[in-house]
Amino acid sequence: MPARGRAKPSPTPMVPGSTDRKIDKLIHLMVKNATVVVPGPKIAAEIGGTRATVWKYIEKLRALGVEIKGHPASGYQLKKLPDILAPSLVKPELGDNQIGHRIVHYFRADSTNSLALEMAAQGAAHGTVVLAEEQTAGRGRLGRSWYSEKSSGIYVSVILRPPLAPSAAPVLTLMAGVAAQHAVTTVTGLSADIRWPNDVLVNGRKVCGILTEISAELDRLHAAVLGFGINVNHSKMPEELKAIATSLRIETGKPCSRAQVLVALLRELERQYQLLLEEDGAAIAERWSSASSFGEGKRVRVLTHTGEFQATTAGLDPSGALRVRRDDGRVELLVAGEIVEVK
Amino acid sequence: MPGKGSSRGSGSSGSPWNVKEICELIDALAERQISEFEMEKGGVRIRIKRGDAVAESNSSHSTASVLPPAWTPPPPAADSVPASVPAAPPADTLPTESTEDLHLIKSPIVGTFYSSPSPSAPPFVNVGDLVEVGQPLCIIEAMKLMNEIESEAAGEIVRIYVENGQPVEYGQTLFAIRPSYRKLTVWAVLASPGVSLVEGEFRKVVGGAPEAVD
Repeated sequence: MPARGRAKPSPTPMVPGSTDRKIDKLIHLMVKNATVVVPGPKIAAEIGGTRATVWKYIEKLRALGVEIKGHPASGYQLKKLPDILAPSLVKPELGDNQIGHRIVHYFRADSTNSLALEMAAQGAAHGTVVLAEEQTAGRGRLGRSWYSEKSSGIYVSVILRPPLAPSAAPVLTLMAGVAAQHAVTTVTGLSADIRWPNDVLVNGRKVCGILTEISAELDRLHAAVLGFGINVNHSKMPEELKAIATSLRIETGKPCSRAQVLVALLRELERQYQLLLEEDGAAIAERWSSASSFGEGKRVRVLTHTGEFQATTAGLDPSGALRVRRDDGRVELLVAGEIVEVK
Repeated sequence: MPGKGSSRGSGSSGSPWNVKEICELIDALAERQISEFEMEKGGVRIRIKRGDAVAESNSSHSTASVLPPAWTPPPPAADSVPASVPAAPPADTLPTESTEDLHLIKSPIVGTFYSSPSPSAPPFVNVGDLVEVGQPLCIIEAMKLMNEIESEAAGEIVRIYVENGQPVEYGQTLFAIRPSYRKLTVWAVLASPGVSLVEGEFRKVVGGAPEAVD
């Protein structure tokens, strides 16, 4: 593929507000030595700081719910493996994945998509990943919010710089849906469906929502940001969401490693992206069609900005738009809008 | 986005100025509402003058030969142009000025046009609003891919062609913007032998690369 899809290398300065490298190193060190007592001076040497700094960072981790026992004379011991998506823990699992070669982690962010869009505007490279343990203003489509409970879900945005015209970019949203469904299925064994264009559903309720935003000129796509919100370890969903949303933990009845889901997602995203580059959008649309029950013959309610109607789905066109057949036989091509299954 | 795009013309070896630099300079001047500017570097003096939108629509400056490094101001700008210029048309009608003078914002994708960030929010812009380069104008959605369209020009929104929720086609015109200035003239007196005066026009200077700098 032409090299222009790859972003020019950019300097990687510390992003303001993102997780300190010291704390990232500390998490890595504690996890690597999970069962042993790690001496304070050793930690200080590894993360680069004084013993007082170590104390400060240990306290920070404790505040985040990581159980660390302090042994006055000898050092610190991790009592329980933390489920933190620290770059130092995730990156080694990604191998030579382009997606995730750089991970910017936040304990708390307003919205990973907003941050990723900003970074993209400043030249962040293809494959840069922005992660947050908690979002204070998680965004959905058209100003909707995304419930982003601390450390229960995966809130991640991926910056892509595909060599596509903006008009061909919408297929990226299908690609994202296919990757998320794959990650959920392989890690949990649950059977997951994709509702057009890319809501991932388990037992009819949403476990993953995806918001894709692009920055483009008329004929030039600068960057696409794929934002994923995956409900992983929520033990229950808020009352107002119960009917439409669920979590992997609720569905399987046991907690699930967020890191595993994240790694599976980023790896599958890489594979699907390669497929898109090597073949075309139609290949992605085909993948989607075989992964979703919504592509063909599904009775749905179509909600558009101008109204709603019932129809039966009649396959994707190669661009990823959904054909729906109205009851009077007319076939329409849906480019935007939402569908809901009619039961 | 400033500072990128075509760079035919100068910008290569020898000249102490390059197109990118000049563009950045122009952006900085525009930002500060400076209408005229002169600066010398490496024996080349550059003068940037923002054309009054209407009064300077005639670009027939003669390329008088001058001897470097002396700076000869360019001939008075088109004072002879008849002043019978119509007042700005009412914003809600199609402007009488040709669309050539307007900056048109077009849709890069097929999708649905949204005039506001959320159904309950006020529109990004209304007719008559003054916008800056990079200011969001609308969102086009296709398959849950949201494309926030930013203004490529600074100026006044004179027309919005589509309504909230309406489907749009690729390349369909969404907005017409009357740039806050339409013409910018750059003169550079070169000290190098052989070249005496370079005169060029930056036609699409607002938010875009210059179309001609020769």
